Amino acid sequence: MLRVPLSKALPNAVKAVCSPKRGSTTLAKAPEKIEVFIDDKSVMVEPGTTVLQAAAMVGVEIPRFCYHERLAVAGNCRMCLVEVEKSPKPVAACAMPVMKGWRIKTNSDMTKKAREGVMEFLLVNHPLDCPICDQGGECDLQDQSMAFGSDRSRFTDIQFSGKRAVEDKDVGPLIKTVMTRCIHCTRCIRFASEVAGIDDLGTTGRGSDMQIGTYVEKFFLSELSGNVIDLCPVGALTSKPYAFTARPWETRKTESVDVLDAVGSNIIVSTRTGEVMRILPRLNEEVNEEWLSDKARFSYDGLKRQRLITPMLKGPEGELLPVEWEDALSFASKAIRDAGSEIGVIAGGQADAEALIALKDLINKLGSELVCTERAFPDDGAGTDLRSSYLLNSKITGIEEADVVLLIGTNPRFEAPLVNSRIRKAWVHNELEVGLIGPCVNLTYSFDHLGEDPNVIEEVLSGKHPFAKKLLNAKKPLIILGSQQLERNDGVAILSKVQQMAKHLSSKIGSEWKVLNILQQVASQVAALDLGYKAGVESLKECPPKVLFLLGADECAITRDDLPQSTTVIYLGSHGDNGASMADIVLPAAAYTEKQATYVNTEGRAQQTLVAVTPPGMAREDWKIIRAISEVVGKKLPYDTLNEIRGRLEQVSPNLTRYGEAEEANFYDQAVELSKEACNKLDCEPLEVKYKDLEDYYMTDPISRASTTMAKCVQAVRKQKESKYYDSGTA
Amino acid sequence: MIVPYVSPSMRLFVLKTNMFRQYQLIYKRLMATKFPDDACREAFIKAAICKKEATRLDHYEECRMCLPVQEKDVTVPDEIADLTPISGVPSEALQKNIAIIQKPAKNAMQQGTANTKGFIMKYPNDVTWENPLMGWISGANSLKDVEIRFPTKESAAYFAKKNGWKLFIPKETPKKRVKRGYGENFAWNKRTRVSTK
Repeated sequence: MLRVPLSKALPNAVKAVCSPKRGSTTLAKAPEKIEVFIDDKSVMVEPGTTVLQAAAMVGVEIPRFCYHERLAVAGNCRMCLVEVEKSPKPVAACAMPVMKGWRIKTNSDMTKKAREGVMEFLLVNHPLDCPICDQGGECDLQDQSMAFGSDRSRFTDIQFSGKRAVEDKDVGPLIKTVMTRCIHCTRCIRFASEVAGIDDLGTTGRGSDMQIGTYVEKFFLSELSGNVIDLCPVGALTSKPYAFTARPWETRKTESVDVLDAVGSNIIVSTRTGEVMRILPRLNEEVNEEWLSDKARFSYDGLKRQRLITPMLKGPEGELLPVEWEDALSFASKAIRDAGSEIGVIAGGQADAEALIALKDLINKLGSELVCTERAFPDDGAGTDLRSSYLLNSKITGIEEADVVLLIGTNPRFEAPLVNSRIRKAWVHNELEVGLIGPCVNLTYSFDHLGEDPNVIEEVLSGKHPFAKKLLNAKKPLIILGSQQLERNDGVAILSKVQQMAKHLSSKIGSEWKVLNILQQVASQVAALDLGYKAGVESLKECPPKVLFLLGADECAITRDDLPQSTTVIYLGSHGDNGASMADIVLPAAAYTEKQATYVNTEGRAQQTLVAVTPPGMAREDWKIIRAISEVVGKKLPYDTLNEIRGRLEQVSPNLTRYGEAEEANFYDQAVELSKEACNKLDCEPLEVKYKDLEDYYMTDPISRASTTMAKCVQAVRKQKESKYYDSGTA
Repeated sequence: MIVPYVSPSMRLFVLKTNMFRQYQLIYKRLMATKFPDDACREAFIKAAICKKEATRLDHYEECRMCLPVQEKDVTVPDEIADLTPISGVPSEALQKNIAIIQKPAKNAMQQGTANTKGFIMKYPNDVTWENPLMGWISGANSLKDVEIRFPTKESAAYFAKKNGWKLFIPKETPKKRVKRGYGENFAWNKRTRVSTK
């Protein structure tokens, strides 16, 4: 039950004995396909395919509870039993590989009887509380009992001992447990240990005494924990913040994109009564598969709190007073007109491409070039002129193919949880080797820690470091550089070294494989750089403008102290956070669930959000506010509709409107040549990452900072740390 | 109700498709118009009915397509008729709305795929507000509740183009099939070996 896998117990010994044959170049011949018959329909499958997968190929869906495509096969629920001709017993379709010529009957009497039997046992131990269960209406057990459940029960409680009941567990502020409903499919356990990489969940007891739990009293805390709610086929694990708030058939679903990190996870926003009720993941194999990080899933309550719902102007005593749009626009326009060309912009982490282009066009029309992003990026060398220098070039799916990954100055687990889950997936299934330069954090998989000193990069580049050999021998090596390191003083030197390393490796491989990857932290950065924003606020600090326009900039890149008294700060954004508190004029804008807007993720993939709810109060879509200001200022922007502004986006950077596509970047060699000319001196200061601990992960942007659920998560992590069962090595 | 003079075959067709009500408008116009001769009158009726028929029949087709239809059974004509003059959709709505055509997303909470087949055409949400009377959510765009199912992307696009909608067809992200075996749980030298039960 508590076995430690051999590869974990003896990491070195196992590697030495049985390192996978990576050297051999001959491709294994594709095995010959075998023919099987599903309900007399012939299908050709590869040997080793399970009955369930073979059936799926011809569109026959076999009922299941424990089986899940993205988890290991458990084979314990027995719901997928099917008849195989000439076999005396039914077989478990999820675990049984097909044999040549098998005739599988998925609808025969025997199959049906088996399913009905399993269903009867499940229902004997399952409470009849669908009317008060949050899973009601989207419950696999409910649906399948309609097909295979009996209309009367043989369960008679002759001892009057009551139906089986299990005590509920407190596993944290996100997951509500009703353990009596559990059918022991063990999906949550497998998810925790395989995908999330936290071996916290498990079973105790046997038979009807079996229980799923954490063995000792502790929270199930992980940046991916919310996914067990989706995985649970019954209502044993449900969402705590969503509990009893809505039924699935009452909600309107809007396909959208998450913007709380740079991954751009695909989501479905469920809304009812003009409110966001919950956020669920949407399948996209290229981005988030079918997972979603907890911040993206649970911080939606932040969309209702701390909102800016009316325009505001700073009053005589320095307090912000609510005003009408007309006043706010005329005040803003007056300030802008008076400033002339002395106007600057800082774009924050959640600015959409439409707002970015509208604001840039306006500022340029006024004669200023001071359009900056909050996050810095070295300007020397190629700077941000070549897209390959700031993208995750190999794409997220590339990670799955890689055999060696070197992470530099990043903690992907908290900067981009779904990138980290891909790395973990490759680590589990492809024997991926990982190296890390930077603070030694827990990534949920084993890695070689090469040190925190940036000079290790130099050592690896020159081939002195032992890890350099692994990189050189790799067929598909990847280097992932955290964008945070590029904000350092020696950022250009780090980028240059990493580019040289990537060039050296890719010239050795000689294929189309992209080695260089930059992992961005915020959703707006790639679009901003594509549109020609200057990265970093240095130029604004050097010559502070008369009007500073903050487009959702809340990270305090520039504080009030950096600006002269006379500077007017205009804040355009959705939440009353740091930016709004230092502003003279506040313009309320829409959050990402309230506008149809374009975002580009760290791969350079353009995706759009759709309107799920209407912006609260007097808040309006960002680009429309900017368009209105331009009119009052007298520099009218030439677009009135979303289509027209997207036409403008296309003019500037055509990849921004190719939704769903990640545009390839290019000119790697040129970027290396240009960066070589720049300063190449590395500092001695060790590499640092912003998010080291789970505690740091939850509240990172205006929306998640406003979320009470996220605050509870931080609290829970702190509480867990006080627990005697807390182990910093595994948390 | 007086049925306007139409040729017997046409009348049979009209009777068969049970669309008398559809023709009341045509009939009114017919009564109000003077024709130089019968041939001219016949031509007018034919044109009017055909036009109307086109919309009705297409609609019928599309309703029928909601039933499980094999993709291969659906053919989309190359020529696209323009139905905007007679479809009755205000031109502002046509200007404002974009038809989104995509596969319905699977509910992440469940494993079944029954409702994710075919394609769905819908329109993005519009501005809503709280109704002062009951506090319910009101809106001015009746299209936001419209969802039409089609067996293929092409047939959906055909319908949308014919009706003058601007289209947005997101990139499809099909599910990948991964081969998984029970044996992986017990592999002695792989990281797929299960540690927890």
